[in-house]
Amino acid sequence: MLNDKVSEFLKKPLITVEVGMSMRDAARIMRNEGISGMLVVDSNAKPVGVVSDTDMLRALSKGVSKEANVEEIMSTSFFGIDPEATLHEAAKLMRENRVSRLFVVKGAKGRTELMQMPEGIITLSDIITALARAKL
Amino acid sequence: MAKVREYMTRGVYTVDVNSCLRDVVNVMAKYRISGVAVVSEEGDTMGVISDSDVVDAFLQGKNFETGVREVMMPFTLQIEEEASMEEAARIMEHERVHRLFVVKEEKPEHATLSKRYVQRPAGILTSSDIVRYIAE
Repeated sequence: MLNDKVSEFLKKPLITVEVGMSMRDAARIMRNEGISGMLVVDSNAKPVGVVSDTDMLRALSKGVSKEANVEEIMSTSFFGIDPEATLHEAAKLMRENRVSRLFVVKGAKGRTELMQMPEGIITLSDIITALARAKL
Repeated sequence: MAKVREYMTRGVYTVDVNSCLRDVVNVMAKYRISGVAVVSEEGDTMGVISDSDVVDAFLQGKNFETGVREVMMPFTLQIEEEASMEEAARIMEHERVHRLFVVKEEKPEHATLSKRYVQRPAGILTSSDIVRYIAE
């Protein structure tokens, strides 16, 4: 079960937002794209954080303005996985680290530095999709 | 202030309390949702299962035949239709969940919105509804 490779399920291209964008505009992109998280990049396209639905509900619960910049609410740690890893390993990493998405980067396993754009992203819902296809 | 009833989804996807993980995975994949309510034959809400509960179950060696009862959270977190979106965000953040069941009215003895008790929900409010609210 879940022996398929991450590379078969990863989504690309990545949807990114640039620092300086408001939480409101980032939320619009998430709503329109039907996604729950995005990579935040600086003006040199270097990844600097991740903004997700969880970050947004936390911000709202703390009374942060919708006009606040994404960098004020994003999380700055990245969790990655190698494209050749299995979905089982991906699922394990997500649950151990309590995250819903991993960035696909050669050689990555867990908390990682993102020096360049990842190959793609894999999410908890991709794991459910894979399980639904398996249905053993 | 925006109210929960303006952003909630009416109706809730459910699985029977006697069904198994295969049924849960199928419903989640088919309707592209991240959580389902677990109901008894009488239609009472018994609990909830999220995509992370499903993935945890498989990682612990459970399989498609495993009963829903073994995997569900045996309670639901509820909020009133008339509560504000900010209050909904506070409860989600505090309880570390991404969905709340929406009930029409709160009995006086249940003044705390996050009280864990079972009442038939009118709908559901998820973290993506919070994102939709922030987007406006």
